[in-house]
Order: sequence, then structure tokens, then C-alpha cells
Amino acid sequence: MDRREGILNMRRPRKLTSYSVRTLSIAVFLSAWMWLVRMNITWPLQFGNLPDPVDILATWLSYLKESSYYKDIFVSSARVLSGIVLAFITAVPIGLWIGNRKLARDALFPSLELFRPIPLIAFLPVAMLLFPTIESSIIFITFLGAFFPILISTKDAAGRIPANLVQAARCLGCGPARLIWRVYLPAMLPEIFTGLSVGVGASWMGVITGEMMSGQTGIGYTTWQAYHLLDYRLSVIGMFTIGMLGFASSAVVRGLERMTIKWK
Amino acid sequence: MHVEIQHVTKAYPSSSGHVIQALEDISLSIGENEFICLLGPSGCGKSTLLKLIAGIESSSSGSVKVEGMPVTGPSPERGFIFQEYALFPWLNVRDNISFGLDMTGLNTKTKRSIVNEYISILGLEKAAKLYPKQLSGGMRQRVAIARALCLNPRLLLLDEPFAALDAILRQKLQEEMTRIWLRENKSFILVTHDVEEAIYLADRIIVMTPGPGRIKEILPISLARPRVRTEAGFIQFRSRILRLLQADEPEAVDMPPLACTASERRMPLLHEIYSCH
Repeated sequence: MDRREGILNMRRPRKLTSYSVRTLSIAVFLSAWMWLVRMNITWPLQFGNLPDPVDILATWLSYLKESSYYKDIFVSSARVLSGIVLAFITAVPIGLWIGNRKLARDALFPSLELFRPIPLIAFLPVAMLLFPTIESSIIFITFLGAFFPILISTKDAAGRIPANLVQAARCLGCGPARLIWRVYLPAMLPEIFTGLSVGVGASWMGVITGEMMSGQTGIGYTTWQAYHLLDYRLSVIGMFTIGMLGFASSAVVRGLERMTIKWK
Repeated sequence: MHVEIQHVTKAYPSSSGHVIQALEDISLSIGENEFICLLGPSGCGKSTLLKLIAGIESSSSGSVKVEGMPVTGPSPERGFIFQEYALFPWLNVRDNISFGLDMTGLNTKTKRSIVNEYISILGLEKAAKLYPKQLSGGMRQRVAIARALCLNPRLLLLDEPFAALDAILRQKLQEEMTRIWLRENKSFILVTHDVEEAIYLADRIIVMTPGPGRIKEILPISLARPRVRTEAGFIQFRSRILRLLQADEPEAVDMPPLACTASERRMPLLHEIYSCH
């Protein structure tokens, strides 16, 4: 009894300390920002040009009532989601194929490797030329962002499947088609998820790039447009919104991973 | 199930470009309901021979026939139990056992009752919902045995099934294995490097020697079951087999253990392996 109480007493303050330190950290950041802006500090950076955090908060609160804010969030999220879904259904089979067959690897991988180091933004001119609509070219960029990480992790995972699991399945009467569903995919799932969480981040990068450069809708477009219209508060609000969306997407991927992979 | 192996050889290309002769001219006939142990030191090709019978690997020459038909690939008729169990980590115990049944056209109800039967035979009731990672080595081995048995194979192939378990658990599972074999109408072929295990379990022991893998002698074990490890007959078989295995390694017998260099220590000598059981 005494010992348990002792542990509880130890724990509570520690947790409390942790929370207060975190809150303090944000408070310090915001106060530093406020101070830099209000003192109009211009060296080493032109902090004086930034909007005041209190003004931003007030604008954000009123902006939360506007439907255009939610429309922007929806449009960008939908683009990311379609890009990821497309990447997932193409990268996983291709990864499985080139991970398993040397001929496929020799035939496909060099050309894929040619494109992989190219930053997403550099694909934009070609995407605009290739696709009939701006919408499809933006989705193409988000697709590319998710495609390569998922492809690479699937390919590596396919090469690492323990041979004895495949042999065991075959000894239990599992044919080649079922082998993919019952052995290969579940065995690769943890690594596919690793690729997916990297891919989701890259996808958000892709969608914001596309929207800023060529879009007419979406949170990236609004953020950039606000800068041109000298509405710097909205730019900063857009920036933080993008950050929160990225954070939420990773949380969704992590949640999905926890739900699907129960055996780890 | 009747297995007929005739003049089988198996050669692997090694990484340095040589050819490694794993098996050389193996001929062996295994009868209905027989319990066979393939016994020998590592490198004698006993596991390779087992995989040839399973159809997981194919021979370089010669023929492996089961019930008169040449083996061309794995089949649920020939259950295989892997050394490291090879359980599917993403399936719980029940689903692992049911994996092979899912490949058949059986309805859910029949499958369920078969799985339940083998769960209770192997004492896995409490573990049914657990994942392999949560199980001990002995439990994993039981799941692997249940998974193979529930397909009702007529031949069960076991690749060093108890090698990773501690001595007490090993003896317990050997007893269980005898019980299962007596209960089911099946031929068992078990690979082991443990002399006592082979004498305890087998109707016939196939003693194999390495470099290249060959059958040294086929020994029928005439002892009545249940066998007692301390009985005179048991001990006679044991010393006879140890002599057989040591005859091939004269330097291993002569070498005083203290003269071993550090690198030789890591790889135990034959007589060291066999005298510690």
C-alpha cells in the first residue's frame, strides 16, 4: 500500500512538471515572437515585418467562421488523399514485383531511380504539360510524393520476407495467388506503413507546392495569395494550418497502423 | 505413407564457385506408419533430405517417390514442421492453426471443430488468441505441430523440432510426440542431431555422416514403448551409435579438449556434442 502510494506521489508531479514545461516552452516562444515584432527588431532578421501573434489569433478566430477556410482545407486534403490512394495502389504491386523478380528490378528500377532524386517542385512544368487540367497535375505531384517512399519500402520488404514462411505456406497448400494476400502482404505491412508515413509528409509538400505555383484553390494557394495581397496574418494562419494538417495526417496513419498491426 | 528414395544426390553451387555435395547416392525406403529419425552431425545433409521429401527443394539426380508418385512440389499431404517453427507472426494461434484448412474448401463450422480438436490435443486452449511473439518456444512448437496435423497429412516431416528447447521441455514434447504418433495413422520422419532423442522416438534410425552426406547405417530400434532412457538396451544403442558417429572423425577423438584454439572452441567437436546428452 505504502509503496504504491509512493509511486503515485512520485509520478503525479513528474507528469505535471512535464506539462508545465511544455506550456512554458510555447509561452516563451510566443512572447519572444511578440517582443521581436513589437520592438520592431530588424537585425539579424526583419522580425518587424511579421504580424503580431495576438492579431493573428484574433484574425484566426474570426476566420474560423468563414466557409472558405474549411473549403480550402477540404480541397487540399482531398488532393492529398487521392494522391496517396493512387500511390498506394500502384507502388505496392510494383514494389512487390521488383522486390521479388530480378528481371523486373533490372527492367524498371533504373528508370525509377532516375526520377526519385528530382524534387517534387521540379516536376511541375512537365506535369502541367502532361495533364489536361491543373487539378490533375496537382494530384500528380501529390501522387509522386507518396509513390517513391511507398515503392522503396515495399521493394525492400519484399526482399526480406523470411523464406521459411513462404515454404510453410506452400506446404500448407497455399497457391501462388493466395500467397500474395495471405503471406507477402501481411509480412510486408509494417514496412509499407513506414513508407506510407513518409509518403504522407511528402504528399503534403507536393500539394502545397502545386497549389502555390499553379492552383486557384486550396490552403497552399490561399497562403501564397494572402502574401501577394499583403494579408500577412492570413499567410501565417495558412502556414500553421498546413502544419496542423500534416500533423493530423501522420496521426491518422499511426492510428491505422495500430489498428491493422496488432501482432507487434 | 510409403516413401521411396533412390540414388538421390544434391549439389549446391557455393558462393565461391565450388560445388558443395550435400547428399551423395541416398537410397531409402520408408514404410506405412513408420517413425524414422534422420540422425547425424551438422552438414550431413539430413535437413536437405527432409526438404527433398517435402518437395521444398529438388534433387540434382535420382528420384523421390511418395506412394509411387514422384515429388514435384510441396503438398498438404506431407506436413512439414520447421526448425524455427515458421509461424505467421500476424496471425494468432487459432488462425495460424487454421491457415492450411483455409486453403481447403471446408466450411467454417467444420474448420472450427477441427481447429478446436487440435487446440485441445496440444493443450493450447489458453493461448488461442495470443500471437506467436507472446508465446514461449515450447508453445510455438505445439502450434506448429497442430497447424501441420489438422490437415491430416499422412506423412509428417519434422526438421529438428526440439533443438531450440530446454532439456526438460524437450523430453516432455518427445513423449507427446510418441503419443501423437501412436494415436494418428501417419509416418513420421524426424531430423535430429540428438542421439537419445532418436533412440527414444524412432522405429529405425538412419545414421548419416557428412562430407558428402551419406547414409552410414540404418538401425532398427527394437525397444518396447514407452522407452526408458536409463534402460540397459537404450544405453547399448546409445554407445553403438556414438561409436558409429565417432568412427568418422578420428582426430576429434584423439584431440585433447584443452588443446583447442579459440576458433575451434566455437564449433564443438563431434564427441563433445554427443557426450553431453
